[in-house]
Amino acid sequence: MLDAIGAGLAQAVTPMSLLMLLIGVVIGFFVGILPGLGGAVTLALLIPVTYGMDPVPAFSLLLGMYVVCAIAGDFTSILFGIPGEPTSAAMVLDGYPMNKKGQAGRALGASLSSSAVGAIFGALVLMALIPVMRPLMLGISAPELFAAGLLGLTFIAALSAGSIHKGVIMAAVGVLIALVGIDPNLGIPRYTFDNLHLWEGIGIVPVVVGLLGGAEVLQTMLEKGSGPKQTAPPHLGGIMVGVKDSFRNWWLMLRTSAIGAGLGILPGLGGSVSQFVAYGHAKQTSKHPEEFGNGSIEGVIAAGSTTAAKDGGALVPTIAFGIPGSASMAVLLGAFLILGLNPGPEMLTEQLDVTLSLVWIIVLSTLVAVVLGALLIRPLAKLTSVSGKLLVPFLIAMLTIGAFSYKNAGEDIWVMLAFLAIGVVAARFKWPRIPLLLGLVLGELLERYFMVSYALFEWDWLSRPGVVLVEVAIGAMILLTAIRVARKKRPARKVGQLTGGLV
Amino acid sequence: MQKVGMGIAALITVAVLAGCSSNAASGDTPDAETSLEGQTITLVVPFDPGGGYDAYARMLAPLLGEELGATVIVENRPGAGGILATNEVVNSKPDGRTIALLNGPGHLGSAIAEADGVLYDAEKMSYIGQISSEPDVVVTNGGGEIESADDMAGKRFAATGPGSNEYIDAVVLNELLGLDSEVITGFASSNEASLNVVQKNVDLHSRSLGSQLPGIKAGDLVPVLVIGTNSGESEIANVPNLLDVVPSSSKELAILHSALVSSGRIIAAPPGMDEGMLNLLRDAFEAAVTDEAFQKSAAESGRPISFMGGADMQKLVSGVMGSPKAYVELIKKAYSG
Repeated sequence: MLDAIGAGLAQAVTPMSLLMLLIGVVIGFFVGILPGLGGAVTLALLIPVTYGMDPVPAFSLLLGMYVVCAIAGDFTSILFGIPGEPTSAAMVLDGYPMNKKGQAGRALGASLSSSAVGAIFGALVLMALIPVMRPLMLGISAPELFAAGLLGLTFIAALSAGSIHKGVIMAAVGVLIALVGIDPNLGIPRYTFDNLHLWEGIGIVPVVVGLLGGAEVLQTMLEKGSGPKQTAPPHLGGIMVGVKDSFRNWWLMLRTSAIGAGLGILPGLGGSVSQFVAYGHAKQTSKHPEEFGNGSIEGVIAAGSTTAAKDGGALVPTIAFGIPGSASMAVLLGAFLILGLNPGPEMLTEQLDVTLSLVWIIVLSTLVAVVLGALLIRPLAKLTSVSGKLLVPFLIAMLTIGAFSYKNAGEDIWVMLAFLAIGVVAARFKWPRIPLLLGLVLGELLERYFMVSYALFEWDWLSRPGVVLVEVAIGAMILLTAIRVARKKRPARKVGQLTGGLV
Repeated sequence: MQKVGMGIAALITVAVLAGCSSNAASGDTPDAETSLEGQTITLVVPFDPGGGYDAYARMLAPLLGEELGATVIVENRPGAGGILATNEVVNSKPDGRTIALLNGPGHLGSAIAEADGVLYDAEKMSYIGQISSEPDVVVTNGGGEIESADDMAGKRFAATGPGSNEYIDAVVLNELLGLDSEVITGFASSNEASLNVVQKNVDLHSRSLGSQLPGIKAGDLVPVLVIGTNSGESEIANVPNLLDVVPSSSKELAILHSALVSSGRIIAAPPGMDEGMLNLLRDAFEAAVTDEAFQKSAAESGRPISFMGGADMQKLVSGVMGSPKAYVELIKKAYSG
């Protein structure tokens, strides 16, 4: 194993590999910053470039690009309140309010350093799991995925500050929206109104873009004084403050990285769920939960590290069994096959050095991204002081392109507009929006895996070890929360004025 | 007031953009000429980026462009199992600037079954040719419980959902071989269904050879039956074919189903294309995919080429579409869940 780690590093630092890595990181940065234009599509566009390359340089390009996408996606969330990637939605919750308070530099610094720690943590998890990857994956099936989804649902309380009732109602609305589309078991269209576009359900990208970003743009535009204007000029000297903040919260960084990497292993669950689980966890364990949603540095750190940590975890099922955990991993799996690599035992024995070079590529590209990011923070943060009149048309174009490019479908722009309206109304009457998002993602997942679990095992699945483990975790969490609530008086509630009640 | 006006103006801008984009697919084009030189051709892929269809399209695009002196761009339009994109392509102008890479079994299967959402006559489309064809392979796990087609009786198949290629295979095998097997549906992807076979949660799973090969090579999956023409891969050389194991009374249906599976990946254009343009595209396609260097590099990247000309493809489609009632009923069953 040690030999292979060395061999993996040797392959990852050849001039060709490093050159490809650098190109990948630069592309990834810009793709990540633009909302909608996601990592998966860009991976697919880059694959033909890798024909005839050796595997390691090819992965330096592909994986380097992909890892950096997640890191850069957080930048857009902080600067404009529009998630650059669907996995950057949680970053909006506190990163954008921090920006509004004139702390853009601090938020960017904290997001960059926590992302870097998360990415490296994820890579180490990937390496550590190599010996047990296949037995581990053999134990994960529909029941375990259902249980993990249920665990995600328990965070709705933490994500609906102010009123738990409103949170539950919004989550229920999200679950109802998840019903739209072809029934996964019987193939019967539900609420599709003879529109083929709705057969595959309401997509997460246009919803995130409209509900969070669109509503934010429209709201600030209609506010007195026009445009997303700074209450104070962006305080750029804060970059190092943000970096220090994140390392002062090192324990939180490690815990949320573990959540990202752990949930990343579960195929299908992915970053859109784990970011909220990590965010909810950070809020529950924080000494200052009232700051969450109003520019909490802990919220930024949790969102940053978990999003970057997921990729190391998501590679586990891809390498062990060729089961891609997400759309991007599916594209990457295509690249494995084109490059002559067979996921499965081969990747863990004969080609162990290639597998380990993937670990190194994640580490190296993260480091390059940190340097590049640090250089770009200043010019990027200046964008926030551009007058609203100039910025708003640009943001609207970004929103529209973001929604459209998800599936090259004009219909998704209408979906985005519909959720933009819902977002504005929700913000106006202080209804939390995140539970709706979580309900939408989890509703589909819970329904699917409940039905499959029952079809496979009837009720026996309830006693599978993985399921019991999660059941205990859910029970413990509810118990701990109950104890905490009983012990201390509720802290004075501040309504999220800055985010308009985002959480 | 000014702000409200600005907001309304912004919304109008978005709405106009939305309107433009949904019309873009059928945008205005000059009259069809029998040359596509200097033009931009859209090759529509009805699936997400990264899958087999996308890979073939992106391999083909530059070569086809070179043959025609045009630029071929790949556009992914996933949705409704491919029906959404096919409906759009059928309604675009047959001027050679819109073509599509279709999933043969899915495209023809849904047309035969007159599945919900199908708004076209598959026989009337203009077929440019076939780029690949591979058999489906039914696999089981390494438990050694299932060794022959007879052992499949009463076992459980995995499939994503009704109407998918893997579900159709399971329904057809159930009927033709009298298996009385259950089909477990709802898996999020074909790969997830496959993992459940390895985990021994289900017994059987049928999908294309190319998708099964990595699992077979890794020793996780064992092939038990081939549907369609065996292309000579060593991994499935000694595996029985559906045609060998089916009782003689069902042979005709088995042949029809093998033809459907073998329809493979098809390049097609909207109906009503004039003959000159169709021949131009067919010739360019033939020249591109029969190129030896291209075939070699494609095979090396795990995407082998199997060429069939447009005229032959058109005959195959007509044959499948004219299937006897018994087969049509069978496929309809596979779509109704």
